[in-house]
Amino acid sequence: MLEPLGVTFAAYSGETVMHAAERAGLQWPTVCHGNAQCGTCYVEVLEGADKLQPPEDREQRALRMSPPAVIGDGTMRLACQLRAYGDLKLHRRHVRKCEPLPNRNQS
Amino acid sequence: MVDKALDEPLAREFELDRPGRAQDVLRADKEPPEPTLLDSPEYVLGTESIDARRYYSTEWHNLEVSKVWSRTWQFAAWSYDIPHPGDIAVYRNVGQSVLVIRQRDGSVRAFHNSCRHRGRELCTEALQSQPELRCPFHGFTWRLDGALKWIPSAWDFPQIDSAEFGLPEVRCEQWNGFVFINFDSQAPSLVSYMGKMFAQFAESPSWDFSNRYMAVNAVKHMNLNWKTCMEGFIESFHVTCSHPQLLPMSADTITQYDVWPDEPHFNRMITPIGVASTNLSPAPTDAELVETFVLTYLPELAGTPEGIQAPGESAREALHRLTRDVLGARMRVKLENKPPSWLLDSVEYFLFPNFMIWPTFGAPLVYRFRPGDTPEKCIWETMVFLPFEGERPPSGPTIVQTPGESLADIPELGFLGPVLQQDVENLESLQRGLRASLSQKVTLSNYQEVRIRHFHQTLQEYVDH
Repeated sequence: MLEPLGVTFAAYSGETVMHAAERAGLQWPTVCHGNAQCGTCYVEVLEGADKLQPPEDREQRALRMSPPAVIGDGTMRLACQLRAYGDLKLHRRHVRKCEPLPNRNQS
Repeated sequence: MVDKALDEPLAREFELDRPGRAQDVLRADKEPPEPTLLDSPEYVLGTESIDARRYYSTEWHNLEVSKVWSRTWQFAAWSYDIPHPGDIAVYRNVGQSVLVIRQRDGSVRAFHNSCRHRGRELCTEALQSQPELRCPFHGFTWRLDGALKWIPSAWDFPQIDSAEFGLPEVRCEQWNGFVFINFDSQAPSLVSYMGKMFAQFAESPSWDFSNRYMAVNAVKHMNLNWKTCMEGFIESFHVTCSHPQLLPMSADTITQYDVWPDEPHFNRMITPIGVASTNLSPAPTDAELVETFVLTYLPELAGTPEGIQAPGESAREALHRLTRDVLGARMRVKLENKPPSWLLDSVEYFLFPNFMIWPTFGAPLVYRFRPGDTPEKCIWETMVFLPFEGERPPSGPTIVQTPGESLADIPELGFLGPVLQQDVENLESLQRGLRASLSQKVTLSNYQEVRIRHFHQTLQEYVDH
C-alpha cells in the first residue's frame, strides 16, 4: 500500500519495491535507475519494517544524501534496494501513475 | 587571446535539444536579478581536445611556475583577517612565500617572506599587531614598511648598505575585501586584469563582501593536479551523476555558462535553484519540490503551514519566501527586498588562474586552488562567507584535512560537506584516469564545458608568451 497515492500493488517475494511499482504501471522518481547512487527514490516505510532486510552499505551511503527527515516516524529506505518479503505500508510523494511515453523520433 | 574565427554564437541546430535556459527563470522572477545576470553571451571557443599530460607532467608544472604563477594575480589574504597595523598574513604558493602586512596608515603591502641574511622565512604563520619583522634565526629586523631597522653584530656586515637592504616588495592590490598579490612588475593592474568582472560586481551592490565574514575555511590536501580539482567546479554538467540528490531543486541542465572572447581572465556560470532538473523523472510538482527543500534544509517545518507551498505561489517563490523569512530570522540578517537570484541561485565567477567567488547567498563561497609539491598534489580551500548585521564577527576556524579525511565530517560546512565530498571522491579517481587514458586526450562539450576551454586558452596564452 503506497501513500499518498492510495494504490496497492503486488511484489514477488524479494522483488524491489521500485521494480514492483514499475510492473504495476507506476513511475517512481529516480535519476540513477536502480543503482543505489542517487538516493532520489527514497521511501518511508510506515508499517512492515520488521519484515525487511537491513540496508547494505551502498544503500546506507546513498541514504545519507537523501532528505534527513520524513513525514511520519517510519524507516527511510531506497525503493530500488528495498525488497519486499511481506505486506508493507509505504509513503512517498512524487510517484506517478504512468502515462504513455511520447515517441519523439516518430513525431 | 582567442581565435576570432571561433567566436561565434551557438549554432542554431544546437537549440533543438536544449532543455531550457537559466534566462527563462531569471526573467520570470517578480523581483528582478542583478542586471548583469541578464547578460547571456553564448560563444563557442572551438572543439579541440585537451592534452591529458597537462594534468600530471612535470614539464607543465614547471611551465606554470615560470609562466603563470609568476605573472598572475593571486588571492593572498582576506583583508578583515589583518585589520590592525602590524597584522600579518602569510601566503605560500609553488615555492614562494609572501608576507601581507597591514601598515600604520591602514594600507596593505606585501613583501617576499625571506630574511636577507640567510634566507629564513621572517614569519611562518599569521601574527597580530607586530611592531616590526624580526627574523627568529639571528634577529635581523625590518620595519612594517620593509625598511631595514637593525642588524645584529653590525660590525661584522660592513658590506651591507642599510638603505639598499629593505625587503623586496611584491605588488599588492585589494578588491572586495580580498588582497591579491602579483610578482610581475609589468602585469596590468588588478582592476584592468579583471576586466568586465570588476564592473559587474561594482553594479551589483548585494555582491559586496564588506558585510560578509568568513565562517569557515576548509583546507583540503588532495592527491591530484590543481587544474583537475579546479575544473571540477566550473561546470554543472557533472551534477546529475555526481550530486543526484540535488536534482529535485537544482536546474543543473539549464545552467548558463558565460565567457566573453575579449575577457581572458574571468568567466561565470549561473544555476537556478528552486526549479527541478530536467534529468529528474518524473518531474516533481511544485508542492513536491517545496517538500523536498523543507525536508532537506528545514525539517522542523515539515508539515507546518509555513513549510508548504502557499496558494498561488510557485516552488521558486516558496523557496524564496522560506529562505528570506526563516533563514534570515535564524541568521539574524535582514534579507527583505533580496531577489530570488541572490537568495537561491548559484552564481560563480572564476578569476584566472585559481580564484572562484560565488557572490550570492544561495551558495556563499570562495574557492582557492594551489598546486602542491608535485604535479599530482594540490590544496583546495572552501571558504564560506556569510552576511552579518552589526559588529563584524571574527573569521571562523581554518580546518586542514589530509587526502584520506572526509569533508562530510566538517559540521561548519553544513549540507555542503557531503556534496563536496562527492566531488573529492570523483576527482581523485579522475586524476588516476587521466594517466590511464590511452588517447591522452580530454574531450570537452562546446557549451557546458566552455569555461574549461576558456581557462585552457588563457593558460596556453601565458605559457606561450
